[in-house]
Amino acid sequence: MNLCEIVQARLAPDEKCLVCIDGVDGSKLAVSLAIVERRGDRALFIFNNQRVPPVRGSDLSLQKVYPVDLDLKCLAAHEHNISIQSGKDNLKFDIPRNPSTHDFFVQLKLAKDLYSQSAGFGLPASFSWLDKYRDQLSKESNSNPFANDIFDPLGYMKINESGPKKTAASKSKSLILPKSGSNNSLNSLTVSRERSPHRKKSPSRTKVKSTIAKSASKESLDDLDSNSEIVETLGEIQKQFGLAVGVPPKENFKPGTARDTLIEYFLHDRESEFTDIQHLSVFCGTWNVNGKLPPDSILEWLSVDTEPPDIYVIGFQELDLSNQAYIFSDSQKEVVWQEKVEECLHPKGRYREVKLIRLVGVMLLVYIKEEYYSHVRHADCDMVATGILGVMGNKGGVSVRIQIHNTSICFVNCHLAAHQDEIERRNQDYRDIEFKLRFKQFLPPLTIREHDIVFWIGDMNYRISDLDINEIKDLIAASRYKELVMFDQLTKQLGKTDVFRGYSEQAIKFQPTYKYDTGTDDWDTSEKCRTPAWCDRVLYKGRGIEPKVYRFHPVLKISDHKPVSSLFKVEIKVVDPKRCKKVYEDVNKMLDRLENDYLPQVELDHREFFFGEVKFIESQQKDLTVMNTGQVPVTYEFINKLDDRNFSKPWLKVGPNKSVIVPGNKVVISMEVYIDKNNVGDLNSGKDTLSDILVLHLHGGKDFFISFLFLLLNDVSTVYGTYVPSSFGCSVEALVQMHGPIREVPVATLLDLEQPGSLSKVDVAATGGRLYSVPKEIWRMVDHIWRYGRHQDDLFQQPGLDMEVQQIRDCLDTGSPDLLPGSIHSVAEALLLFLESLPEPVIPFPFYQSCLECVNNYLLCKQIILKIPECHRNLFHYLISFFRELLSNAEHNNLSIKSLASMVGEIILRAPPSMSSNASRQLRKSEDLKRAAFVYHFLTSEDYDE
Amino acid sequence: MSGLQRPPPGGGSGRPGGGAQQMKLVLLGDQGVGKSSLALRFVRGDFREDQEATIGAAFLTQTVNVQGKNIKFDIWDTAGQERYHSLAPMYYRGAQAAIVVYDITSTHSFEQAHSWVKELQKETGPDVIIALAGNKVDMAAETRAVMKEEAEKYAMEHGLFHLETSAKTGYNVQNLFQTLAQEIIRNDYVVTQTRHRIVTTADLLGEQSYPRRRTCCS
Ligand SMILES: Nc1nc2c(ncn2[C@@H]2O[C@H](COP(=O)(O)OP(=O)(O)OP(=O)(O)O)[C@@H](O)[C@H]2O)c(=O)[nH]1
Ligand SMILES: [Mg+2]
Repeated sequence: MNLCEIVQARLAPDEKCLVCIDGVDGSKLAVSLAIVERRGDRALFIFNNQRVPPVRGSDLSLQKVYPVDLDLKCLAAHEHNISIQSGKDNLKFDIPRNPSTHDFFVQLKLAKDLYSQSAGFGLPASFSWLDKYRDQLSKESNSNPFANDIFDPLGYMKINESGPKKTAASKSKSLILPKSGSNNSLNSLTVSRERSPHRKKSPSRTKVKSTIAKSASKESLDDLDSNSEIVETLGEIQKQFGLAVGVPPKENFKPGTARDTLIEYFLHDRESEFTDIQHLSVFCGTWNVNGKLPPDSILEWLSVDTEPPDIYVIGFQELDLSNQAYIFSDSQKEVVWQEKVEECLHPKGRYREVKLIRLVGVMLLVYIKEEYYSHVRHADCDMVATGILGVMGNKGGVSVRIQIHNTSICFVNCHLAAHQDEIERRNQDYRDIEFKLRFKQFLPPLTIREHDIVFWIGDMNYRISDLDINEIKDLIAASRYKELVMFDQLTKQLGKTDVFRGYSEQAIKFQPTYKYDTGTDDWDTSEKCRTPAWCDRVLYKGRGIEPKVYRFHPVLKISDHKPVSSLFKVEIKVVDPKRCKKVYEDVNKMLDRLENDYLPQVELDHREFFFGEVKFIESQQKDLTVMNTGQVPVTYEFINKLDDRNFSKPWLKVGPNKSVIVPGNKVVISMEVYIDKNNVGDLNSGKDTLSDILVLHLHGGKDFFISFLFLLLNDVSTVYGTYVPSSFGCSVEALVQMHGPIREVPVATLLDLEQPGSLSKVDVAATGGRLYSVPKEIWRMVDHIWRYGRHQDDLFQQPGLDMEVQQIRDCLDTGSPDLLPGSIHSVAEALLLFLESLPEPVIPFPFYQSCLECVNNYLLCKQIILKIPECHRNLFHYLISFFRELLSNAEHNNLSIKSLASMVGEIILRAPPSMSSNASRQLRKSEDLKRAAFVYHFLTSEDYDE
Repeated sequence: MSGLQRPPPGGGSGRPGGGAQQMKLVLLGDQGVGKSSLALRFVRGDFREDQEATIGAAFLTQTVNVQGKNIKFDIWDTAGQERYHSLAPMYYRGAQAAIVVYDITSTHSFEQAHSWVKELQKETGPDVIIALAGNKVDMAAETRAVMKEEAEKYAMEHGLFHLETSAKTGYNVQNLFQTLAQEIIRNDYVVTQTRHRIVTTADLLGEQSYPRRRTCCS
């Protein structure tokens, strides 16, 4: 069993040991450190090993349990020596250096990242599952040397205390992370102070999630502190976008839309049109102080020039070498060194601190002359630890960035991996800093390379190689630096590899700055006898930088390194607001033009469609050609008008109703007008008219209206086209009143006849009371079939011809010729179509349901028929008699009673439109059977009489 | 150097603010009063004697800068012909601002403008800013039919702001839109966007446009 499995044996089933390492604690007792997970929350378990190595669960006695939260810190002074801090506890362990140790750190770091992430999403971790171990602890504590430490999870989570922990738990309420001074335990490893004047607490609660989520990407373990800066930044962005304080941010607010990016791009492109150049001098100094306290004066380093520089960039390495420095941030040395620096800045200048940032021993200080201070904006800082196991802070880089007027400048101070042969480690450290460092005030966070000017200083630790130490010393003695530099590892890299790509360095005209016997100018005389090297360097990158001097300051002897400094004159772009506004407006105008040019554009060959005479069941089709004349692909779509359910009337079929057209191409859309039995009724009754407007919408662009124009016959002087009313689709009521063929009836009269209840208002005197008992059109078809077709084979079973059906329609509507044209089958089909087109079926809709309910009882069926309106009843009996007669001729026409019953049932008994659509298939089938049964009674009954 | 500088937060560097507020604006009015001409004058700076009648709704976009803030107008220029009247609500729904245009040489168009104002005030919220524009003022000398005082009185009574404009000469056109933008800023309007009708540079760049949600202004 490996350690992990042994620990697992001690855990609840839903808890999992992710990784476990063994080590030795401060009292030299063997311990096991395990990271345990339960539902995404992780905790650090520390066991005392009762047997070494442990072989089963009982060999481990629980000593400590810490939730992995913001409060827990793990710091490594050396790779084999770590300390764990949480709350008041501070435990030290020696651990072996092996792959599982690395795993352990990776897991721990991940656990912390996850914690801050989920806390950021407002999902406070729940560590109540650790409670049960509390009892264990007290039991087992007898046998361990930490008996006095009582496990108190609530205490560790500081539920009731103020402080950073509480902030994490209560983020939904407030998002200003306290950024109090040095007693903020979050600051333990790092310090970043800012004294810029534009800091304001801005409550912007809705942004908290993204803010905190961002922080999860941070590289070092303990730098969550800078969250508050991001939060503030968001506040500023909101201000910028015109949101008054207290106004909730817009839901659709999104910083940095593509347009904004483009504006920035073009503005940057045309920067020279609205900026003037101003020159500032920059002093860059770097010194590895080897953990020493400052000497009385460092004027010899910082103030050797006659004129005071405008900006001071001062980097230290190995500020604090004590183990403590890896753990606590409020390093005494930081304070004394900073005081010394401030004391020794050029006496002729008055300076203000812009930023101070420190990662363990790597500290960067930036000062600017008072007079320029107000022009500094968006000062930000970040750090990347590259030290032990790639996460600890004993090596790494810190950076400060500022913007002065319109020029962005980034300063990096680094301490890269040591040792003569570790070139690749140093290169890797450089890459880590370059790629991981992010100024999170910006959205998305800004990288080092996105600055106009970069100064990169520090103890880069590159050595002189491929040359014997004595030769090196000889060359130095002869001041032949030019030759010696050829052997400098960094010089070899510059410009030739991807390391420090784009960076330059002034010519080195001073002797190596490392390694001296402390307090002297003598080369290292220790046992190791280190080869001299230019460890301490100043590199720069960007436009408008004029290097002035590059030197070392051997007078300062406290360290094994000599301090280095370099002076530059840099160009600062100063914006002229008037010219800027003009360019800005220009750019906006150009973008507007661009946007309008890139709107989808199409040409249509028709905006209006005129149709000729449109008749029942006679399709007419026309084409609409849509040509993409713009510069971008177009998606067109017919869209619904206002609250309509469909984009067109039911008699208009459009296809394709949506499609994509690439520039220069076209699509032909078919527009078909077809009046069928479903929509003819509304047209006859005037509920619908044959006109429509379609809205053709281009996605992201304009709309076109396409009109369909039809004018009713007799209505106007110019007739573009018209719907020709047909007896098909007229109501039984209208038909029995209608004398003469429908084409001879004035439209107005037709509409009157179609008015509901028109039959009861019939002016008997005027019409002579002449009502047809059944519609004459039906009579004509029935009579025709009876006369010429009752012996016809397959009557009602063979389809007719469309052409002939249309001719029959015309004959019925116009009254001529006397004899119906076409075959018997076409007449039979016309009859069925006629019945199907009746807006109200033979048995009107309101009776549909009761008919279905009484199909088992013929008497009840008959009673329903008695209740339907007279004209419908007459028609019903007429049709039933007709079909009974046909059945009596079945030996000739092959009519089967069953198929006839179901066919007739379907036509004379139709479900109300409101019901028909949503019935299931099974239900519909059973309805079909019932309808057939209903008709069957009447067709077969012995006692049928009218 | 990447050459691309990210917009810093806080709008430093003395340059006008970055993000634009999007604004739906609709042009309404009788046919031939010059709605399309006004929109084109504003967006492109041209004028056409033979401007064809709008059959549908044209879409244009233009940004104005007021007091350092950007207002991006999404302009819907509608069809004035009576037979399309019933479709107008498709375009004024969800708009934050409307320009009702009449032709100062036509009393009929002025009467039509009244009915547009009435409809707008009935169908849209009280927050919609309405401008009344008397267009074709270049023809005032010969054929004026609607007196300026009369229109101003009407505007006053109905809480609109009124301007006489000429799409032909450009007179007051910039002013018209600029004043609208100012009004909008003054009222601190919350952006309202309709779902599917906005083209941004994001679309130009082929970037996926993010879902836009409708916000409600109260
Ligand atoms: N003199 C003069 N003519 C104008 C002016 N504005 C528009 N016109 C002309 O008036 C006619 C109609 O202009 P449009 O812009 O098409 O009018 P519209 O309001 O868009 O019309 P619809 O699209 O049909 O609603 C065109 O011939 C224009 O050239 C103006 O300010 N002065
Ligand atoms: Mg127009």
